[in-house]
Amino acid sequence: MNIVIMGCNGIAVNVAEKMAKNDHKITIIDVQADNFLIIEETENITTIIGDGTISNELEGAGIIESDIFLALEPSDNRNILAAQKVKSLYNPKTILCLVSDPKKDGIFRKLGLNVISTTSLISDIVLDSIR
Amino acid sequence: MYVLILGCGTIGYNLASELLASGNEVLVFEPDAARYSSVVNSFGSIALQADGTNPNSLEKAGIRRADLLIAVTGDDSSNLIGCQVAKLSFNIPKTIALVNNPENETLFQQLGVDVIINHTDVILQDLEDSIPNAHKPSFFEMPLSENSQRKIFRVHVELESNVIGIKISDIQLPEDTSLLMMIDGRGNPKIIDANTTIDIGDELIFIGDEDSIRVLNNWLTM
Repeated sequence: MNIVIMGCNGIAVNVAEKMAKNDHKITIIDVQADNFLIIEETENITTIIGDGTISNELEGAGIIESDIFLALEPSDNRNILAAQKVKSLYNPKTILCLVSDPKKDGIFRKLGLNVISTTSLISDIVLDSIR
Repeated sequence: MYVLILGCGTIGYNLASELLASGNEVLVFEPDAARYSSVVNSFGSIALQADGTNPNSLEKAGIRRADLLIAVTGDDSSNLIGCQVAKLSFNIPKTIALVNNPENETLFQQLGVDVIINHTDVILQDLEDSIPNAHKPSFFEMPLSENSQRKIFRVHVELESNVIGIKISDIQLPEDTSLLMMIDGRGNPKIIDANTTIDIGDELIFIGDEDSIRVLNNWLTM
Protein backbone atom coordinates (compact mmCIF):
# COMPACT_ATOMS: atom_id res chain seq x y z
CA MET A 1 0.00 0.00 0.00
CA ASN A 2 1.01 3.60 -0.51
CA ILE A 3 0.77 5.83 2.52
CA VAL A 4 1.14 9.60 2.62
CA ILE A 5 1.76 11.17 6.03
CA MET A 6 1.59 14.92 6.63
CA GLY A 7 3.75 15.96 9.58
CA CYS A 8 6.89 14.17 10.72
CA ASN A 9 6.52 13.53 14.44
CA GLY A 10 6.87 10.56 16.79
CA ILE A 11 3.60 8.96 15.68
CA ALA A 12 4.50 9.38 12.01
CA VAL A 13 7.93 7.81 12.53
CA ASN A 14 6.55 4.90 14.52
CA VAL A 15 3.81 4.14 11.98
CA ALA A 16 6.19 4.60 9.04
CA GLU A 17 8.88 2.31 10.42
CA LYS A 18 6.39 -0.47 11.23
CA MET A 19 4.59 -0.23 7.89
CA ALA A 20 7.87 -0.06 5.96
CA LYS A 21 8.90 -3.44 7.39
CA ASN A 22 5.80 -4.97 5.79
CA ASP A 23 6.85 -3.52 2.45
CA HIS A 24 4.38 -0.67 2.32
CA LYS A 25 5.60 2.57 0.71
CA ILE A 26 5.52 5.61 2.93
CA THR A 27 5.98 9.27 1.94
CA ILE A 28 6.17 11.85 4.70
CA ILE A 29 5.57 15.52 3.83
CA ASP A 30 6.48 18.27 6.29
CA VAL A 31 7.01 22.02 5.96
CA GLN A 32 10.04 22.00 8.25
CA ALA A 33 13.15 20.20 7.10
CA ASP A 34 14.38 19.91 10.71
CA ASN A 35 11.46 17.66 11.57
CA PHE A 36 12.99 14.98 9.37
CA LEU A 37 16.01 14.66 11.68
CA ILE A 38 14.15 12.00 13.69
CA ILE A 39 13.64 9.67 10.74
CA GLU A 40 15.93 7.78 8.40
CA GLU A 41 15.04 7.51 4.72
CA THR A 42 15.04 3.90 3.57
CA GLU A 43 13.94 2.10 0.46
CA ASN A 44 10.33 2.31 1.62
CA ILE A 45 10.35 5.66 3.39
CA THR A 46 10.62 8.91 1.40
CA THR A 47 10.60 12.40 2.88
CA ILE A 48 9.48 15.54 1.05
CA ILE A 49 9.69 19.12 2.26
CA GLY A 50 6.37 20.74 1.44
CA ASP A 51 3.01 22.01 2.65
CA GLY A 52 0.50 19.17 2.94
CA THR A 53 -2.45 21.57 2.83
CA ILE A 54 -1.63 22.56 -0.77
CA SER A 55 -2.78 20.19 -3.51
CA ASN A 56 0.27 20.55 -5.80
CA GLU A 57 2.56 19.59 -2.98
CA LEU A 58 0.33 16.69 -1.91
CA GLU A 59 0.47 15.46 -5.49
CA GLY A 60 4.25 15.70 -5.38
CA ALA A 61 4.09 13.40 -2.37
CA GLY A 62 2.05 10.89 -4.38
CA ILE A 63 -1.43 11.52 -2.97
CA ILE A 64 -3.07 10.45 -6.25
CA GLU A 65 -1.74 6.88 -5.99
CA SER A 66 -2.12 6.65 -2.23
CA ASP A 67 -4.32 4.26 -0.25
CA ILE A 68 -3.96 5.96 3.11
CA PHE A 69 -3.56 9.60 4.13
CA LEU A 70 -2.62 10.55 7.68
CA ALA A 71 -2.70 14.18 8.87
CA LEU A 72 -0.47 14.28 11.94
CA GLU A 73 0.79 17.87 12.24
CA PRO A 74 0.62 19.66 15.62
CA SER A 75 -2.03 22.10 14.33
CA ASP A 76 -5.60 20.76 14.50
CA ASN A 77 -6.75 23.29 11.92
CA ARG A 78 -4.13 22.34 9.35
CA ASN A 79 -4.90 18.65 9.85
CA ILE A 80 -8.64 19.24 9.39
CA LEU A 81 -8.08 21.40 6.30
CA ALA A 82 -5.75 18.82 4.73
CA ALA A 83 -8.04 15.88 5.53
CA GLN A 84 -11.09 17.66 4.07
CA LYS A 85 -9.13 18.67 0.99
CA VAL A 86 -7.82 15.14 0.40
CA LYS A 87 -11.31 13.75 0.95
CA SER A 88 -12.83 16.09 -1.62
CA LEU A 89 -10.10 15.92 -4.29
CA TYR A 90 -8.50 12.47 -4.09
CA ASN A 91 -9.57 8.98 -3.15
CA PRO A 92 -7.42 7.21 -0.61
CA LYS A 93 -9.44 4.46 1.11
CA THR A 94 -8.53 5.69 4.54
CA ILE A 95 -8.05 9.23 5.78
CA LEU A 96 -7.10 9.81 9.40
CA CYS A 97 -6.79 13.19 11.03
CA LEU A 98 -5.14 13.98 14.35
CA VAL A 99 -7.13 16.50 16.42
CA SER A 100 -6.13 17.35 19.96
CA ASP A 101 -9.06 19.61 20.92
CA PRO A 102 -11.83 17.21 22.04
CA LYS A 103 -14.59 19.68 21.13
CA LYS A 104 -13.34 20.00 17.56
CA ASP A 105 -12.90 16.26 17.49
CA GLY A 106 -16.67 15.84 18.00
CA ILE A 107 -17.65 18.48 15.45
CA PHE A 108 -15.56 17.05 12.62
CA ARG A 109 -16.36 13.43 13.45
CA LYS A 110 -20.02 14.29 12.80
CA LEU A 111 -18.95 15.63 9.41
CA GLY A 112 -17.62 12.18 8.53
CA LEU A 113 -13.90 12.67 9.11
CA ASN A 114 -11.97 9.87 10.77
CA VAL A 115 -10.60 11.74 13.71
CA ILE A 116 -7.96 10.44 16.12
CA SER A 117 -7.92 12.36 19.36
CA THR A 118 -4.88 11.76 21.53
CA THR A 119 -6.37 14.02 24.19
CA SER A 120 -9.49 11.87 24.48
CA LEU A 121 -7.50 8.64 24.36
CA ILE A 122 -5.16 9.72 27.14
CA SER A 123 -7.96 11.22 29.25
CA ASP A 124 -9.84 7.94 28.98
CA ILE A 125 -6.81 6.01 30.19
CA VAL A 126 -6.33 8.41 33.08
CA LEU A 127 -10.02 8.27 34.04
CA ASP A 128 -10.01 4.46 33.83
CA SER A 129 -6.99 4.17 36.05
CA ILE A 130 -8.35 6.40 38.81
CA ARG A 131 -11.81 4.91 38.83
CA MET B 1 -25.50 43.15 14.93
CA TYR B 2 -23.06 41.18 17.04
CA VAL B 3 -20.02 40.37 14.90
CA LEU B 4 -17.07 38.12 15.74
CA ILE B 5 -13.84 38.81 13.85
CA LEU B 6 -11.01 36.27 13.68
CA GLY B 7 -7.64 37.85 13.10
CA CYS B 8 -6.61 41.43 13.53
CA GLY B 9 -4.22 42.34 10.74
CA THR B 10 -4.94 45.37 8.57
CA ILE B 11 -8.25 43.96 7.37
CA GLY B 12 -9.49 42.82 10.77
CA TYR B 13 -8.49 46.05 12.45
CA ASN B 14 -10.25 48.28 9.93
CA LEU B 15 -13.33 46.07 9.80
CA ALA B 16 -13.59 46.28 13.58
CA SER B 17 -13.21 50.03 13.45
CA GLU B 18 -15.89 50.34 10.76
CA LEU B 19 -18.37 48.00 12.34
CA LEU B 20 -18.02 49.72 15.70
CA ALA B 21 -18.48 53.13 14.11
CA SER B 22 -21.71 52.00 12.50
CA GLY B 23 -23.08 50.92 15.86
CA ASN B 24 -22.43 47.20 15.87
CA GLU B 25 -21.14 45.11 18.71
CA VAL B 26 -17.77 43.60 17.83
CA LEU B 27 -15.45 41.04 19.36
CA VAL B 28 -12.02 40.37 17.90
CA PHE B 29 -9.98 37.19 18.43
CA GLU B 30 -6.24 37.73 18.10
CA PRO B 31 -3.69 35.35 19.69
CA ASP B 32 -0.72 37.62 18.86
CA ALA B 33 0.10 39.89 21.82
CA ALA B 34 1.17 42.95 19.82
CA ARG B 35 -1.87 42.94 17.54
CA TYR B 36 -4.16 42.22 20.46
CA SER B 37 -2.82 45.26 22.35
CA SER B 38 -3.22 47.50 19.33
CA VAL B 39 -6.95 46.68 19.19
CA VAL B 40 -7.46 47.12 22.91
CA ASN B 41 -5.54 50.40 22.92
CA SER B 42 -7.62 51.76 20.06
CA PHE B 43 -11.09 50.49 20.84
CA GLY B 44 -11.13 49.34 24.47
CA SER B 45 -11.85 45.83 25.63
CA ILE B 46 -13.42 44.41 22.50
CA ALA B 47 -10.76 41.75 21.94
CA LEU B 48 -9.77 38.37 23.33
CA GLN B 49 -6.18 37.19 23.12
CA ALA B 50 -7.33 33.73 22.14
CA ASP B 51 -7.68 31.28 19.29
CA GLY B 52 -10.99 32.02 17.60
CA THR B 53 -11.27 28.53 16.15
CA ASN B 54 -11.49 27.02 19.62
CA PRO B 55 -15.11 26.06 20.41
CA ASN B 56 -14.73 26.93 24.11
CA SER B 57 -13.35 30.40 23.39
CA LEU B 58 -16.14 31.01 20.89
CA GLU B 59 -18.76 29.92 23.39
CA LYS B 60 -17.34 32.22 26.08
CA ALA B 61 -17.38 35.05 23.56
CA GLY B 62 -21.13 34.57 23.25
CA ILE B 63 -21.17 33.11 19.76
CA ARG B 64 -24.68 31.77 20.40
CA ARG B 65 -26.07 35.28 20.11
CA ALA B 66 -23.73 36.39 17.31
CA ASP B 67 -25.10 37.24 13.86
CA LEU B 68 -21.93 36.99 11.85
CA LEU B 69 -18.41 35.58 11.99
CA ILE B 70 -15.71 37.08 9.75
CA ALA B 71 -12.45 35.10 9.53
CA VAL B 72 -9.65 37.24 8.10
CA THR B 73 -6.45 35.68 9.44
CA GLY B 74 -3.47 35.05 7.17
CA ASP B 75 -3.93 31.32 7.63
CA ASP B 76 -6.52 29.55 5.47
CA SER B 77 -6.88 26.61 7.83
CA SER B 78 -7.86 28.92 10.70
CA ASN B 79 -10.26 30.85 8.47
CA LEU B 80 -11.98 27.68 7.27
CA ILE B 81 -12.11 25.82 10.56
CA GLY B 82 -13.27 28.96 12.41
CA CYS B 83 -16.25 29.24 10.03
CA GLN B 84 -16.99 25.51 10.18
CA VAL B 85 -16.95 25.40 13.97
CA ALA B 86 -19.23 28.45 14.09
CA LYS B 87 -21.68 26.87 11.64
CA LEU B 88 -21.63 23.24 12.69
CA SER B 89 -21.41 23.68 16.41
CA PHE B 90 -23.22 26.97 17.02
CA ASN B 91 -25.43 27.44 13.95
CA ILE B 92 -24.29 30.99 13.39
CA PRO B 93 -26.46 32.64 10.69
CA LYS B 94 -23.60 33.81 8.49
CA THR B 95 -19.88 33.28 7.96
CA ILE B 96 -17.42 35.23 5.83
CA ALA B 97 -13.86 34.03 5.18
CA LEU B 98 -10.77 35.43 3.52
CA VAL B 99 -9.07 32.98 1.17
CA ASN B 100 -5.30 33.52 1.07
CA ASN B 101 -4.56 30.68 -1.33
CA PRO B 102 -6.98 30.80 -4.31
CA GLU B 103 -7.00 27.00 -4.66
CA ASN B 104 -8.97 26.85 -1.40
CA GLU B 105 -11.93 28.85 -2.69
CA THR B 106 -13.91 25.87 -4.03
CA LEU B 107 -13.22 23.89 -0.90
CA PHE B 108 -14.46 26.74 1.30
CA GLN B 109 -17.64 26.91 -0.80
CA GLN B 110 -18.23 23.16 -0.59
CA LEU B 111 -17.63 23.19 3.13
CA GLY B 112 -20.25 25.79 3.88
CA VAL B 113 -18.57 29.19 4.16
CA ASP B 114 -21.27 31.69 3.10
CA VAL B 115 -19.19 34.49 1.60
CA ILE B 116 -15.63 34.11 0.37
CA ILE B 117 -13.28 37.02 -0.15
CA ASN B 118 -10.53 36.20 -2.59
CA HIS B 119 -7.68 38.69 -3.16
CA THR B 120 -6.88 37.16 -6.50
CA ASP B 121 -10.41 37.52 -7.87
CA VAL B 122 -10.36 41.19 -7.14
CA ILE B 123 -7.20 41.55 -9.18
CA LEU B 124 -8.31 39.29 -12.03
CA GLN B 125 -11.55 41.14 -12.43
CA ASP B 126 -9.49 44.25 -12.72
CA LEU B 127 -7.34 42.82 -15.48
CA GLU B 128 -10.45 42.13 -17.51
CA ASP B 129 -11.68 45.63 -16.92
CA SER B 130 -8.41 47.24 -17.97
CA ILE B 131 -8.61 45.81 -21.47
CA PRO B 132 -9.13 48.75 -23.96
CA ASN B 133 -12.31 50.79 -24.12
CA ALA B 134 -12.46 50.46 -20.38
CA HIS B 135 -11.63 54.01 -19.43
CA LYS B 136 -14.45 53.59 -17.03
CA PRO B 137 -13.07 52.81 -13.61
CA SER B 138 -12.86 49.14 -12.95
CA PHE B 139 -15.10 48.34 -10.14
CA PHE B 140 -15.83 45.73 -7.58
CA GLU B 141 -18.24 45.91 -4.72
CA MET B 142 -19.73 43.54 -2.21
CA PRO B 143 -22.49 44.30 0.28
CA LEU B 144 -21.44 43.69 3.87
CA SER B 145 -24.62 41.74 4.44
CA GLU B 146 -27.84 41.25 2.50
CA ASN B 147 -29.69 44.22 3.91
CA SER B 148 -26.76 46.47 4.58
CA GLN B 149 -26.26 49.78 2.77
CA ARG B 150 -22.56 49.46 3.45
CA LYS B 151 -20.27 47.78 1.00
CA ILE B 152 -16.71 46.71 0.56
CA PHE B 153 -15.49 48.20 -2.70
CA ARG B 154 -12.35 48.49 -4.73
CA VAL B 155 -10.91 51.33 -6.75
CA HIS B 156 -8.14 50.81 -9.29
CA VAL B 157 -5.66 53.62 -9.85
CA GLU B 158 -5.22 54.08 -13.59
CA LEU B 159 -2.41 55.57 -15.58
CA GLU B 160 -4.10 58.95 -16.02
CA SER B 161 -5.20 59.34 -12.46
CA ASN B 162 -4.13 62.61 -10.86
CA VAL B 163 -3.79 61.07 -7.40
CA ILE B 164 -0.63 59.19 -8.36
CA GLY B 165 2.17 60.06 -6.00
CA ILE B 166 0.03 61.59 -3.26
CA LYS B 167 0.15 60.26 0.27
CA ILE B 168 -2.57 58.07 1.68
CA SER B 169 -2.73 60.35 4.71
CA ASP B 170 -3.77 63.19 2.38
CA ILE B 171 -6.90 61.46 1.13
CA GLN B 172 -9.97 63.05 2.62
CA LEU B 173 -12.26 60.13 3.21
CA PRO B 174 -16.00 60.74 3.17
CA GLU B 175 -17.70 60.23 6.51
CA ASP B 176 -18.00 56.62 7.69
CA THR B 177 -15.56 55.37 5.08
CA SER B 178 -12.23 53.66 5.66
CA LEU B 179 -9.41 52.22 3.67
CA LEU B 180 -9.12 48.49 4.40
CA MET B 181 -6.28 47.38 2.20
CA MET B 182 -3.94 48.38 -0.62
CA ILE B 183 -2.59 46.01 -3.24
CA ASP B 184 0.13 47.03 -5.67
CA GLY B 185 0.18 46.43 -9.42
CA ARG B 186 1.86 43.05 -8.96
CA GLY B 187 -0.83 41.85 -6.60
CA ASN B 188 1.11 42.17 -3.36
CA PRO B 189 -0.40 43.86 -0.31
CA LYS B 190 1.09 47.28 0.53
CA ILE B 191 1.69 48.29 4.10
CA ILE B 192 -0.44 51.30 4.89
CA ASP B 193 1.09 54.05 6.99
CA ALA B 194 1.33 57.83 6.92
CA ASN B 195 4.02 57.76 4.21
CA THR B 196 2.38 55.30 1.83
CA THR B 197 1.88 56.88 -1.58
CA ILE B 198 -0.55 55.95 -4.32
CA ASP B 199 1.10 54.44 -7.41
CA ILE B 200 -0.11 53.45 -10.86
CA GLY B 201 -1.88 50.11 -10.80
CA ASP B 202 -2.66 50.17 -7.08
CA GLU B 203 -5.88 48.70 -5.81
CA LEU B 204 -7.50 50.51 -2.92
CA ILE B 205 -10.13 48.60 -1.02
CA PHE B 206 -12.58 50.59 1.04
CA ILE B 207 -15.62 50.07 3.17
CA GLY B 208 -18.41 52.62 2.98
CA ASP B 209 -21.89 53.36 1.65
CA GLU B 210 -23.13 54.10 -1.89
CA ASP B 211 -22.40 57.82 -1.62
CA SER B 212 -18.87 57.40 -0.44
CA ILE B 213 -18.26 54.88 -3.20
CA ARG B 214 -19.31 57.47 -5.78
CA VAL B 215 -17.29 60.28 -4.26
CA LEU B 216 -14.09 58.26 -3.88
CA ASN B 217 -14.40 56.62 -7.22
CA ASN B 218 -14.80 59.95 -9.02
CA TRP B 219 -11.95 61.48 -7.18
CA LEU B 220 -9.48 58.61 -7.44
CA THR B 221 -10.05 57.91 -11.11
CA MET B 222 -10.15 61.51 -12.32
